[in-house]
Amino acid sequence: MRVITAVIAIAAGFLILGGYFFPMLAPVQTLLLNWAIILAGVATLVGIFNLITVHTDKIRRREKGSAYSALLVIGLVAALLFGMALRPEHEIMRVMLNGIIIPAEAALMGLLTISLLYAAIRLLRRRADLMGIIFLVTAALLLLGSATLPFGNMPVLGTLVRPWTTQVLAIGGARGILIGVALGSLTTGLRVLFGADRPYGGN
Amino acid sequence: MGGQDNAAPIASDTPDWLSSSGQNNVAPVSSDTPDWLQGLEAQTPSAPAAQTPEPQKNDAELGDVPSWLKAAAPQSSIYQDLSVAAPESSAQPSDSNWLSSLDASVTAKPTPAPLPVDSGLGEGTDNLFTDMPDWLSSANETPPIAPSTPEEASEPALETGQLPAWVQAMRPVEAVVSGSAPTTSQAESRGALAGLQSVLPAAPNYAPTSKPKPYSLKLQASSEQLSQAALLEQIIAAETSPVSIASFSPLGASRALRWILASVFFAMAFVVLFTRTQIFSLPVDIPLEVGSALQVVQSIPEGAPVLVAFDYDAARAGEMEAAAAPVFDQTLLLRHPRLALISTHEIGAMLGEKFITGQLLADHSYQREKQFVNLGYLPGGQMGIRAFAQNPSATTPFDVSFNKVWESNILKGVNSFSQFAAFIIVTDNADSARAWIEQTTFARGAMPILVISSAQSAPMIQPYYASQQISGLVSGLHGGAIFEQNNAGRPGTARAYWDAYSIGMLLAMAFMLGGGLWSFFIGARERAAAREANS
Amino acid sequence: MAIPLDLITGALSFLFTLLIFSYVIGDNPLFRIGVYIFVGVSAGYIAAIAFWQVLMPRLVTPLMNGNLFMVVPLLFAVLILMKVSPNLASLARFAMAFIVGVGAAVTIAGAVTGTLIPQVMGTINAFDLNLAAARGIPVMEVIFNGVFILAGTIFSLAYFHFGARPKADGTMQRLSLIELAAWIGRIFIGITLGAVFAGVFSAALTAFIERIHSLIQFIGTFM
Repeated sequence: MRVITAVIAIAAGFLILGGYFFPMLAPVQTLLLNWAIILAGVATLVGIFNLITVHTDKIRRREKGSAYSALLVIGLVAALLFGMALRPEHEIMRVMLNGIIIPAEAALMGLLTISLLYAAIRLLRRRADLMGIIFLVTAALLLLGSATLPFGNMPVLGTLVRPWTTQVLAIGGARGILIGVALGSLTTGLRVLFGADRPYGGN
Repeated sequence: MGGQDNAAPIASDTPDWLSSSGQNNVAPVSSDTPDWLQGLEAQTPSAPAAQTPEPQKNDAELGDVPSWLKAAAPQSSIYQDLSVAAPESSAQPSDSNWLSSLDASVTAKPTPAPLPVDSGLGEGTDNLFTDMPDWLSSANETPPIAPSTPEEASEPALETGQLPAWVQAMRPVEAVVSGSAPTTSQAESRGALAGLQSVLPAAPNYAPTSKPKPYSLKLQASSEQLSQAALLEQIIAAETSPVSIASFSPLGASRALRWILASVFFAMAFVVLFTRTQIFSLPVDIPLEVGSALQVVQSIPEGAPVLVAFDYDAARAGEMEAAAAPVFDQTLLLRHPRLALISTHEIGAMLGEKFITGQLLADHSYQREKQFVNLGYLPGGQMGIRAFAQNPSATTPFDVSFNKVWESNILKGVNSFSQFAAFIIVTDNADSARAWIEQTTFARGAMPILVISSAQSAPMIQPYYASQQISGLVSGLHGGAIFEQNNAGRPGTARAYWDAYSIGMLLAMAFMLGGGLWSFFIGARERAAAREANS
Repeated sequence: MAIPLDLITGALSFLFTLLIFSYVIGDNPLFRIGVYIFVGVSAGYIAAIAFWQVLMPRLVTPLMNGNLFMVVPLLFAVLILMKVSPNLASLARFAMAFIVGVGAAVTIAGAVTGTLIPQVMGTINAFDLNLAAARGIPVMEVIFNGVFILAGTIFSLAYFHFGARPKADGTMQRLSLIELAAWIGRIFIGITLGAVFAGVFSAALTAFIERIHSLIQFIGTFM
């Protein structure tokens, strides 16, 4: 099995890479990519099936909090049944999207306002090193620079410090991180293609 | 639940970055290690990788550790899970110490934290005990190891949570697999997300309470790798080592602080939004990237096909719509483009349709299959994007209503990706923007790309504007407010939110600097008290 | 009399916003009810989308039309579905291997052509006076900013350099030059992360304001 999985991964990878360089392999590349797209969709369903399994088990064992799990399963089954019968773009499904999914998720995001501020205030209590101080001061200055006053931009901070920080200083660090991530992706991808790494199992 | 998480469930139980490192440094169970020793290792889940002894002939040798083994023991401790990184005392253990930990684990001492185990490592363990020497049979018969309690396991889990984002970004396999392959993080076992993978833990101090799984690890690392890893461990230790505080009353202080913050922000938002004040000025200067975005909009030919990727969560729908509304208002008003919506996020395309047909753009009366098509969800992350860029009609032959859209009037004349007049990415995720930019490099030709992003992802997208890979960038409410002022005097959402936003930012800055200063002095005092107590 | 869907949507939105916001007084049953229903509905909605927008158009319909190329993904899909069975889960490795191989190749190509080369060139082009002139930026400003961008990029990368040599006492130490560069890199990375934090807070605050705005609007419909 180990050899077969490695052969599948390496062959698929090299065919895809070949499609970038040899036009004759482009149709093969498209075909393989479309297969991968389908499998990604199937994987989504597997994850949701796993969610159902875990929560129905909790209900069956009458664990603490199983009433909440029952609500989850009811919501899931209802959305699934309506979605399968009516399709996701139906009016009823839009009610679910606009009435439940968006408000709940946005409210959770809104709660982050309090949590982030709280964490920032407490940061220097736990670690007062250079990185922490630079981090906090930068964040505070950018917040101040993003706000305006009744008569216009925040003097100096809004007109000079914020633009220069985001367009010059932060770009340097961000570019370093992006190049680092790209290098990491490149080396790890090559390790997968040469069979040195097998994250799919088989080592 | 991003598109990149789609494949998560099909992965093995081990986090991919950890399993890969394991694969780099861990020998297969059946390769080098004798069977009888695998049995011993399988019974010693708490022993870190470096503490796994090399093959030994008899129990007398346990007390007579060779010098080469002494040298190997401390260095290899870095191959433990970072969350269980031992304190300094265990990072440089004496021979007896690290061997004693083996003994302790054999005698069923509760373990500090379980290490994830690759399912593949467990293969072939059925026959592990068949060839076991007599003297080891007692170890095999030891009672099962007591499961670690949440309290015991919570500390290592907390350490993991404290890893800074840049450390997480260094996990190489994750970078490759993200968006393209299933992630292999452990499934959540508590709360509403139980059963899903790649989610945040249910609680800050959460740690698995299941019995630690047995594992078998053997290092195969060169001295150079060990030395580099030791340095990495030193650097990471500085980031993650907890600071002991002598006197600390977190609960009362934290609850009061949270309530104060919540009260202030709720009161501010209710009052300002209810009274609809418009006292604060909108930002007046036009940054380069927003100016370029204006030019892109004005350069779109009348009635041309425009591709729009709606790659954002429902959580940021409010921000994204506020930022995108003036851009689309101007585009639809001036250029009447034919739009094709698509998303690599499961519900992104539906959010996009809600936006285009919603209240903010109601004046334009855009309708599906008349002025725009909805190509729906494009799974597979980077793979999906690459496929679409290479051959759009083959990758998404139908719209969400199963119509063959490439033969419709809306996409008439579009046979390849580069034949769209412009490409607008509306995203809250820098990785998503990066994926679109990277995977369409060859396919887009001279087509302009305009990115409308959340404020949180803008710093990581800005370098792509600086390198001219994208033609314009409008980020967050701030960017939307600037664009709104250049939208023929049509006020929008940004103006409605702006006063509350500005006051909120000022309050946050005041809390952050004032509170930060207070925390700094409190922390310094506590650390000084702790030092005195220790001395 | 039928209740308009808009009103139902508004009422649900109002209710779920309050349920989630109840967390400010601490974890409570109302918050949990809101979260569990939200997760369930989201999962069901996503499953429906995965079926109607992925499997039906890309797998089922082509198969029904006799496209034999789709037999392979069908087989792989069945193998992935084996993941739900503990006994057969290992069969999913074949499909996993395929996805990982394809993903690795796509990522390599994208990283090199889409980020690595353009970003390195972008760092060099930060000193491009012609481009600056086209954008109306003074020459001195270009050079000044370019130096900072170049320094930030190099020092940030140096921060991630872990090459080291053993010292006489056995401890590992980076070269002094690298150590200095990494220390400066910490400053740039700290600034970048500070900017990201400010952005995250800005996004959260906007979501918070949007929710409060929706609550007020819903109440306003009855006033």
